[in-house]
Amino acid sequence: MNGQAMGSPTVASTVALAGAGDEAAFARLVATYHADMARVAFAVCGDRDLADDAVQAAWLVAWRKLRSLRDPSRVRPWLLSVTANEARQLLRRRHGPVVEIDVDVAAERRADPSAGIERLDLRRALAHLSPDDRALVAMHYVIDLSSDELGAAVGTSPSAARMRLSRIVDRLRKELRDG
Amino acid sequence: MAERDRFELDLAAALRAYLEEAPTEVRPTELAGHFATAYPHGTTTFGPWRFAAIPRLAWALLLAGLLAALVGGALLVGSQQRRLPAVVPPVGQVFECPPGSTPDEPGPVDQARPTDGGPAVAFDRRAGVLVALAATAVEGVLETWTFDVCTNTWTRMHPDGEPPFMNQLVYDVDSDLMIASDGTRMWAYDLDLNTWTEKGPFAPFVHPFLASLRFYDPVSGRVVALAKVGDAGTGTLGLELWGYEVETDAWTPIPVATQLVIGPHDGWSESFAYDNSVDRLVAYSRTSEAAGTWLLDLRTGTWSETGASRPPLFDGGVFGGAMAAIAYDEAAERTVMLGRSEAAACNSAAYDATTARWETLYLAAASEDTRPECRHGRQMVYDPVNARLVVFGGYVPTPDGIGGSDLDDVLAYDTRTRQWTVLLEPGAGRATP
Repeated sequence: MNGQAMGSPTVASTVALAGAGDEAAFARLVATYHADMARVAFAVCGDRDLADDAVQAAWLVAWRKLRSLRDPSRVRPWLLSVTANEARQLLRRRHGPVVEIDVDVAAERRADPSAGIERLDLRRALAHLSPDDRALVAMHYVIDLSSDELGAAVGTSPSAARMRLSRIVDRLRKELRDG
Repeated sequence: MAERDRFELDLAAALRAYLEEAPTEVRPTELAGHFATAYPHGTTTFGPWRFAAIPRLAWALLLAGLLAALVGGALLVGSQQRRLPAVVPPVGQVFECPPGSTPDEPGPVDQARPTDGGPAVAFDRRAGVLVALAATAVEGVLETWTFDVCTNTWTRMHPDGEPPFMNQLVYDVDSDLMIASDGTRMWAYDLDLNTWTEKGPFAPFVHPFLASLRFYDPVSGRVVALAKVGDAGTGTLGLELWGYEVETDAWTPIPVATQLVIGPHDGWSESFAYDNSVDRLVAYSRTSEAAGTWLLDLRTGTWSETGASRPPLFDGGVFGGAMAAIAYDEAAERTVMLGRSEAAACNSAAYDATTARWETLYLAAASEDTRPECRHGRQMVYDPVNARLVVFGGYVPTPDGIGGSDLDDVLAYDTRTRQWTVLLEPGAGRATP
């Protein structure tokens, strides 16, 4: 299940119930959004354990603060924003680089030969982005957030989110295609 | 969004494959059950519908009070002029260091100190100490520390019942209490009794985006919480403000008559500080192209654009990680900001609201990455005892922006002389600035 699978009226009532402490409603939100949150956290951290911790922390924030969410239709970008924040904070508390390029180079080169961008190159390019920018890229290209949702997730206008994303993609393009 | 080109399609495919490694497994029912057991929801709920529960008489009294405050504020402050009059509200008595103190000498480097590089901090003017509420390695466990600016020593306070989560600390001068919030509940710390007391709910924000405690308002005697209304798409910045009085544990809305029109505002970041020399809230706003400075008259709820020349460009960061630090420097009567700029250099700059002028205090190279200007997440407060700013900790991101090194040193910044003084060197195993 993903965030698109829950219709607007269902989202509104589920968020309202979950915010009031309804366990079943909260569990429905977890089932719906957890995978997307885990992907964003992993994009930020590059580490499964840290990403797992970040998503757990994000759900705790959600449990405590969901009732403060005024617009239930924004629950997905809100959850993803909370997740990115938690992941960034966990990164900050962990000393030293987290995304270590310690993968088996030969295996990585062999993996997914049909793809135009090799995984090792991608990891290296992502490592050169800020954690915030990695989150943005994941939200757009993997979670498929709309411009409006992207803006809501990062606290900017949709146009500002697009502009920032465009700069990031230009940088990745230069590194992955020209670099 | 525009149609994706070949590169973007490849990028999306590669990202999807890479993020297949993410830990997506979860047991929703177990997780919800765990939270419900470990963190039960309180019976108190608050939201906009609660307004209807307020008796009419209370509304009438509230409106009458606000009207009186508005008229009184207009009479007291007058309309805003090009050069704002200096109105220095009372800020309470200030502690003086005992004779023989050496506040410029670094404290013992081997002393115990908070391990959290970015705690919530505020300055207790009467006691002459910086109070820090610091995170620990244990989730939900905070530590209360004080830093004596006369001896430059940390003390772990060990009070009972510390708040489980922190947001920001603000010193309430009238009440001589530290006020804290976790965004849900209010807490008050009495340094003399070394006791934290849990109070009532956080402000009933209608728009709770980035809501947090911000500053002490010496005119109303309340601690002010602020949230952005978050209407960046229309080129406006709205604020919602509430004042908290700890004695009554009550929140009062602070009306904002107009929304600030920033122009091509694309919501990068905003920073706020209360300037008590002009009794205005200073708002620094950064967009993708430029920066601006505005003043909010808290008594009338009206914004004014300062027309300040060449405001510095501080990088806000999408999620606020690189947010510039901001604090009002009472001695210099200027609002000071320090942080990274978009060009990867780092600035400190000061804004004089009476003349509407920004002045660059220091422009650091990116290579000076442990300088306070270049750190992320450092905390800055004004120290009225020694009439200078105090900066604690922060972290230095690695060149690739992944992770970083926490710092636990304490520095003082006299913006009038532009001199930094080391009050406490980093502890063992920490980077040396």
